[in-house]
This record gives sequence, structure tokens and C-alpha cells, in this order.
Amino acid sequence: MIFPGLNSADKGRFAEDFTVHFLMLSGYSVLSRNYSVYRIGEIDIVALKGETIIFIEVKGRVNEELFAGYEGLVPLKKLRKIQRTASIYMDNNQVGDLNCKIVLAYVHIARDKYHTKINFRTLL
Amino acid sequence: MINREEDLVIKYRDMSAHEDAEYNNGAVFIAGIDEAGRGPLAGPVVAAACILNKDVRILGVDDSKKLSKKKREVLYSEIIEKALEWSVCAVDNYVIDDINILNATKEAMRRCVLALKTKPDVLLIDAVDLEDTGIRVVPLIKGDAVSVSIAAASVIAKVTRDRIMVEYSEIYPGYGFEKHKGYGTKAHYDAIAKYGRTPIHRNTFLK
Repeated sequence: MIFPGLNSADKGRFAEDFTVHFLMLSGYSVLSRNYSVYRIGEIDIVALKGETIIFIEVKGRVNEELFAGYEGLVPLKKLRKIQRTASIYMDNNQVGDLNCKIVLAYVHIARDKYHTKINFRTLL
Repeated sequence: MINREEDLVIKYRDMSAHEDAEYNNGAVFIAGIDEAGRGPLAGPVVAAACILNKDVRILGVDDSKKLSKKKREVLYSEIIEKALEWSVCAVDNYVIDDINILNATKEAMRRCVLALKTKPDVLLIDAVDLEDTGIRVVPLIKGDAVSVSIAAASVIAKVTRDRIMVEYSEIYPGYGFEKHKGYGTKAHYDAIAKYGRTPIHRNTFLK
């Protein structure tokens, strides 16, 4: 494995950093990272392009064989938490007029870091 | 994004399914009940009850979490104008600290029901069960997204709570209550670290 010293927190961090770079290269501006509201929930990345604000939940996996589809990655309860946090974010930052969506970013971390892949799925 | 008139009509019809079932069962007055402010670190928990007019549709009513602040304000005035009856009650942070948030929420809801002049036949409530009101309760999971009555109540509760928090922000400036409404954002925690707690903070919620 190329990342022998990487624990799961580091992997998550890597996946988030990767997503942020990808978004910036795609013309998104990243408004916030790890926006959290105590007792409500957390959002990994908040990004904006044009009139649309997107709330991104990042999932990273090293082992591609373990991937069993997008369905189970974000449980309904987690999605509701993201939704509530997102609505608080929109209220707090006076961005209530923008369109919004909640997106899952699935990062497949390659064993050599040059082949890392990313997929997006709209959740809500 | 749902904007077109006919989409709104379809949405309204879908969200009235529970109400229609109760009307067919012979109920006349159906009250939707919902709360706002279970999660924040400060301020009251606010509950609202709302009896909608069977024949007057209020298009665009949705879960208060899915509406922007502006839309909530517009719907709020429309709801209080067109609803048969509505009531709103708040339970403050001292009571929340005393009897815990779930019981405080139920207490606020109970007061709302008692405050209604018309006695409803059925109560539609989001997730919690309310005993000892003597009225039949239908708890609905994700009630504010599946029932217009509950959604209308959630809008009333949310708007009322937001206004209360804006007033508190004038009494306790510097905390940013007008922005985060008491929710535990980073800015709020920074303010607590800097200025300490206020009398409206829920002590049991703060570590």
C-alpha cells in the first residue's frame, strides 16, 4: 500500500482535500469546510458555483473491491442531519435565495496516488 | 426546486393525504403540531398548533427546513391569515434544564393544544406522542414533510422562534443570536468563550 502510515482520519482528510482541489479546478468556490453545528450535524464541504450552493459529504475508500454501491454510504439519519445543518447554514449566511443541493463525493483513493478517482452523486 | 403552480398543487395534494384520511374518518378539526428549537444551545423551545381550513389551500407550504427565510416569512403571514385557528407557545431554557428537552417540547405542545379555542378531533404531530390531552394523537415520522398541517405549524414555530432570538440579540449583543438563532455554530462557541454564558443559555446543553 502506498499510504502505509495513513490511518482512517488521514484518509478522510486526504479525500476531503482531494475533493476541494477538484472543485476549485472545476470553477467552484469553497465557502466552508467542516461546518459543524453542535447537536445538529456537520457538513464536509460547502461550495458555490453561479447560483447554486452545494453541500458535499465526502466518502473515501482505499479498497475498491469493498465498494458495494452508493446506496448504503449515507444513511437516511445522516442525510437528515446534513439537511438540518445545511438549512442552518443557509439562514446564517444570508444565502437563502440561492438554489441548493446535497451531494455525495465518493473518492476512490488509489494505491499510487496518481490514479485517485472521484464520483459525484446528488443525494437531495 | 418546485415553483410551478401545478407542481405546487400536486405537492399540496400529496401532503394532504393524512388530513384527507382523517376527514374521511369523520374528523372535523385537525390540528397539526410542530416544534422549533430542540437543538440550539440557547433560547426557548417553541411549539405551534395550526388548524387549517379544509377548503382553503395555502400553496407552497413545506417543511420549514426546506424553505428560505424569506419564503417562511411570506408563508407565515399567509398561514395566520387563512388558517381557521393557530396558537404558539414557548418553554424557556430554565424549564428545559429542569425537565429535559423532550419533556419541555411536549409541555410546549400541550400548552399549544390547550390554547386552541376550538377543540380539535385529531392531533397530527411530528414524531412525538402527546398523552393526557384527551385527544387522539397520530404521530407521523417526518411529519413536517408529509403533512400540510404539521408543515404550517412548523413554519409558525420557526418564524416565531427566529423573531424571539432576534429580540434576544438586542438584549445580549455580541453573541450573534440574530444570525445563528442559538444554534451551536463556531461563531456562537467563540462568543461564549469570550463573553461567558447568558441567562438564556441552556446549561445542560453546554459542556
